[in-house]
Amino acid sequence: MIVSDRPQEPVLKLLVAEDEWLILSLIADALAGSRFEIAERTASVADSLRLIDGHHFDAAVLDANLGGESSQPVAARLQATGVPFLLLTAYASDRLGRSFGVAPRLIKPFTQERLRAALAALAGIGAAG
Amino acid sequence: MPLLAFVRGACNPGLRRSAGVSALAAALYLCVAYGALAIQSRPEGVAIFWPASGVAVGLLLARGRAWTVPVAIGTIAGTICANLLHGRSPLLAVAFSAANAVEALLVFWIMERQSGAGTSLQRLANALYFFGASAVACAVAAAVAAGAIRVAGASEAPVLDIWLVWLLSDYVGIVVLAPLLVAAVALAGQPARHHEWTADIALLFLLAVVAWNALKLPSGAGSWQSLAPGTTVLPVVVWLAARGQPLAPAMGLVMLAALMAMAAALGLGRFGDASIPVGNRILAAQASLTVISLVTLSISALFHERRDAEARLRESTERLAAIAEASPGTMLSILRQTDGRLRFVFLASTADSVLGLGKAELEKEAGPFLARLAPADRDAVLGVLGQPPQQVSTFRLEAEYEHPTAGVRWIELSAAPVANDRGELVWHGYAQDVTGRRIMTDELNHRTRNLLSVVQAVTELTARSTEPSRFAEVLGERMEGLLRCHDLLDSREWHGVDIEALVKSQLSHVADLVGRRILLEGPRVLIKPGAAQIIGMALHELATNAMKYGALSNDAGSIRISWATAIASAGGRLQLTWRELDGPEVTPVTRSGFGQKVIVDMVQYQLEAVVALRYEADGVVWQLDAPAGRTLDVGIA
Repeated sequence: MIVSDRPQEPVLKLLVAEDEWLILSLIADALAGSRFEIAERTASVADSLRLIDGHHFDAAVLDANLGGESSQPVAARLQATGVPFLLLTAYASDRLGRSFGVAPRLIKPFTQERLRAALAALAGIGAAG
Repeated sequence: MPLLAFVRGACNPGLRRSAGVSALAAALYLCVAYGALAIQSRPEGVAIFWPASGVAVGLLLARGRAWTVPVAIGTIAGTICANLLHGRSPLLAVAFSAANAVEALLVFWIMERQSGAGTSLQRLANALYFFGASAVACAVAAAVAAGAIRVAGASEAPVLDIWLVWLLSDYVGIVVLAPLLVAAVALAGQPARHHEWTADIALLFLLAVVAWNALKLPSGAGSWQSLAPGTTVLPVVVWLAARGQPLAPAMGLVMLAALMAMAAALGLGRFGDASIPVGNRILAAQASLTVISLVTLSISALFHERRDAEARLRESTERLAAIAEASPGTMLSILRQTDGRLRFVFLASTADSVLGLGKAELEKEAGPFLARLAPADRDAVLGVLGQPPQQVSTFRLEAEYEHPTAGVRWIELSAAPVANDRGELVWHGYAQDVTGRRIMTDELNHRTRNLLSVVQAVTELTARSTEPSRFAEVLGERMEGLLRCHDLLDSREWHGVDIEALVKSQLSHVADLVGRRILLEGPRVLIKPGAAQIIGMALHELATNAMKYGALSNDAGSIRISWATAIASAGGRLQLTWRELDGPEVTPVTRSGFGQKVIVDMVQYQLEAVVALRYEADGVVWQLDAPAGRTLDVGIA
């Protein structure tokens, strides 16, 4: 809600890489009326990489696992292209290790409030960087 | 018939055995008594020792409680016979027999009371008790006998003298002969294995020669040996006793006593020297025999206990070594030296695979092991191992470990502290690779969180598309649908599920209509677990709608659910059709609710499927066409 109160700010294009349609719907629902617009959605690593190469995104939401595959290559590509991203994972412990860098994480399950707060923080990072 | 009962009773094996023991005790008593008299018969009528008293004590100590009654009976019978045959009065015979029986029982009773661990003379403490108990018992028996002699008027000697003579000769008789019987009975019960008897026989022969040489030396012979006769005998006795089998030294002891008595009877050597008062000679012989018996029994027991302890230690060491090899993980001992340095002092051979480091390396220093722990875990390990000795206790912790060849592993480390004599601490415990367990708990947690996020998403999305008054009901139904699908997958251990079972799981609330108004048609097809959850959710929404608005909301409608697999060009497809017939007139849903999104958007997105939803005049038609790679379980076609 912090974000949606300022409609004068430019719309931020978001890539959502999430293989669970339910989570994707939840994200879409949470972002309704915010600065963020879901520009592309995808459920696979290959698709994600292709989309990052072909489009400009202001930020991304990335599930740590896409269709049974680690999305670490996607994280690396996002880092290389300077796109800030929020990592979604169901691992509470630090099982993912350092392979995903220092990207902010949101542990599943999450509420829409927490998702919005995390994305607002991400927009802050994007603006600063 | 009483007679028959008596005969039967006499045939009872227990009774026969007891009678046998009594007969053995009586016969032995008679033989030994006559043997002793033959050797020791002298005009003075006094013996150096009375070996017959050792018979009863030896048999009792050999077999314990079970033999008390038969041995007592045998002793009484033997004593009475011996005395009557010797021409003594029946009164004295009975009194002596009582004294002998009391003596034997008393030795046994005292030893059994004093030692908590049986009466075996192979234990040093028992051997020493044996000398004390025999002294007490002989004092009591001698009092009984001396009293009887005075009452019967059989001797004019002072009663104290009679008592002392009886006491000493019985005592020496017991300490010389009882060990032989104990050893013989024990050997009869359990033959000695791995014992070299030839050396024992040779040593006994040597003892006889040496002892006879020492005994026949006259007291004033001018030889050095006549001043210290024991110096030649004792080493042979000690050697025999140290060999471990108690029979040979006990035989040596009896042989020495017999030789002494013979020398005295033949007038040879010091003990036969008539110029020395007979009382002194007898006391000297009794003192020598008692000391030699004490040395023999003590050394024999000491060596036996040592061999026993060695065997137990070896057994225990072998047991621990076997356990260490067979245990999961690796057993280990870590020494914390007084300077704080840590090193492994024991590692099972499995350390190589668990820790990936060589035993030899770690036994010098624990450093290479500690260096491979994650820093935080290393601090935890060092913290526990480095506590002050008064605060240490058993610990168990899990640490991340950089295995030299297997990569990052989780090691469970557990140990209990034991302080050693040098003021150092030794930690005994194990290290075990628990990576598998760790992954399993992580995975369980992961699955739970995924499931909860599905529940949470369904809840939030349901809340947004349902009237508040119907929210609980609709959500409850959706949860039940998810649960049925979960149960089905669980029963198949999360392998492929049969599509027919999947369809039925979502129709369970209308199960009575299946086969009548709901017709299922299609080949046996196994669906992947992930796809089964998606298809299950879609079927649940279709069934709910059919009940509320569609073919199951009137009495005439029916549903045909059919499926087929096409092994066509593009890797195969799964086609599933839900067709409602004869339902009420359909009005297409305009507002796109959650249920609608599930049957179209979700299925399309997650199964990469083509979904067609048509509202035909007499019912809804839903068609799914998905790639086999996303839906069908591998290997089934």
